[in-house]
Amino acid sequence: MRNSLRPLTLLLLPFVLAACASTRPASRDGGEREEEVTPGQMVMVVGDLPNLIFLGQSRRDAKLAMVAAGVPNYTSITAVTSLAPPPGLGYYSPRTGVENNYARFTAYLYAYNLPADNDFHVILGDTPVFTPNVTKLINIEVSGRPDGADVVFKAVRNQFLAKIGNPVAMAHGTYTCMAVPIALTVGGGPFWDVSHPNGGSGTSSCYGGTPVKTSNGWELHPVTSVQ
Amino acid sequence: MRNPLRPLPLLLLLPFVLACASTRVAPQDRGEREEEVTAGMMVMVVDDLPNLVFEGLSRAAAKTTMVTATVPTYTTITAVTGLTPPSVDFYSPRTGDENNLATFGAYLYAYNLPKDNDFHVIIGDTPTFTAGVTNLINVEVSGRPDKTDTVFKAVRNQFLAIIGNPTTMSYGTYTCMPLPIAITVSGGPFWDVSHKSGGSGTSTCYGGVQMKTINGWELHPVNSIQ
Repeated sequence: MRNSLRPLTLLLLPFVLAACASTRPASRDGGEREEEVTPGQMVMVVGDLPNLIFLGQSRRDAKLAMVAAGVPNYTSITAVTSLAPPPGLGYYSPRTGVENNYARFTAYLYAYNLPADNDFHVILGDTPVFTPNVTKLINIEVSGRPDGADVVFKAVRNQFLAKIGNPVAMAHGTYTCMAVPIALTVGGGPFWDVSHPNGGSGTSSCYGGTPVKTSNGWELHPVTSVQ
Repeated sequence: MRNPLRPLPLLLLLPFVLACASTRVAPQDRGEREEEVTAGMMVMVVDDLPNLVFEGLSRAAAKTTMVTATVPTYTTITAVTGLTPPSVDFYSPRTGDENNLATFGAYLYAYNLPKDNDFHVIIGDTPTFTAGVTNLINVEVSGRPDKTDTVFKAVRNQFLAIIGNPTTMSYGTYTCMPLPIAITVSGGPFWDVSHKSGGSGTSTCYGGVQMKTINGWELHPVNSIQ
């Protein structure tokens, strides 16, 4: 005898698929191309913020190689962002040329974000409040740890977390706006982000929707200190 | 002859069920009982923050009624949190002390947007939060009573201006203020029957220290925040 319930399992499938589809996760690019989420997206709340491991792929080895702190070669945002892009960089290139120099400057923190690759994206500028077409911006990245044994990258993450009120949970991909920008002194290696050669790191979700976005691919990455 | 492919639809169903089960969504109580999310939850990103309409149910009419008194009866956090709780339930209108006005200066430590669309604003009476010393209160910048409202929307815009005019937020995730902002806030004292023993606030700021209210007194709705 034919089992009359047999079609039921197939009929259930569309409901299960629809339920999954209504929960749109943030993009799965590791947060390296476009870290900003949009209304309607579902994002994950994460804890254990000092210990998160770097999950990105683009220029992975370069992003996890800290430059030695010493006498800084660059002491302003524009000194970094006006460097000539290194020629011939690709998805797998190690640090090269000026990327091995050291930058250290004081700037103002406007917004930060934790994309899915677990780097903190920290949007800094050179004026006490962000002013479009006046403020020079840079994205500096407080990297995820290279592995669970690391203590160096974790220390920098803790330095940054202390600056933003030591939160113990965050939602991936959602920028937090600094109502009153905080002055920071940061150090790190200039880095050309091949995923953002034309800039665009940053956010349009602060200050009433004004784009607070970088103009080219220069970052500090990884950050070696935040004070 | 028995078809060997017969169990296949059921086997296919299993991975989808497991995938959905791994995506825990925030609780569906509209944010009125416990507004704080925890690691591993999925939360929705929302925009149009000034215009969001109140979606709560508990004492909804009372929460969307602004007090009309113009002279403050209470000028400190403790003057409000020291009041005697009224005898109210899930459906009670504003009553007794809840119709008076409170106005005081305080410091903003953290804020959150639960699913009922009220902003939960955790403020205290010391420039930085000190456990065991700071007196806390949750003041709620209410969702609009309806889409024609202009009064509640104006207060939402006042609050958004203080926190840097964000245009999007993730539901249920507290934002910590590294440097607490001095504000002056006015509103009606309100006894939250969902939090009679306090507990509004967060354990996700300042390294995880408990920053939670001690009883059910709030300002709700906030009339102004500057």
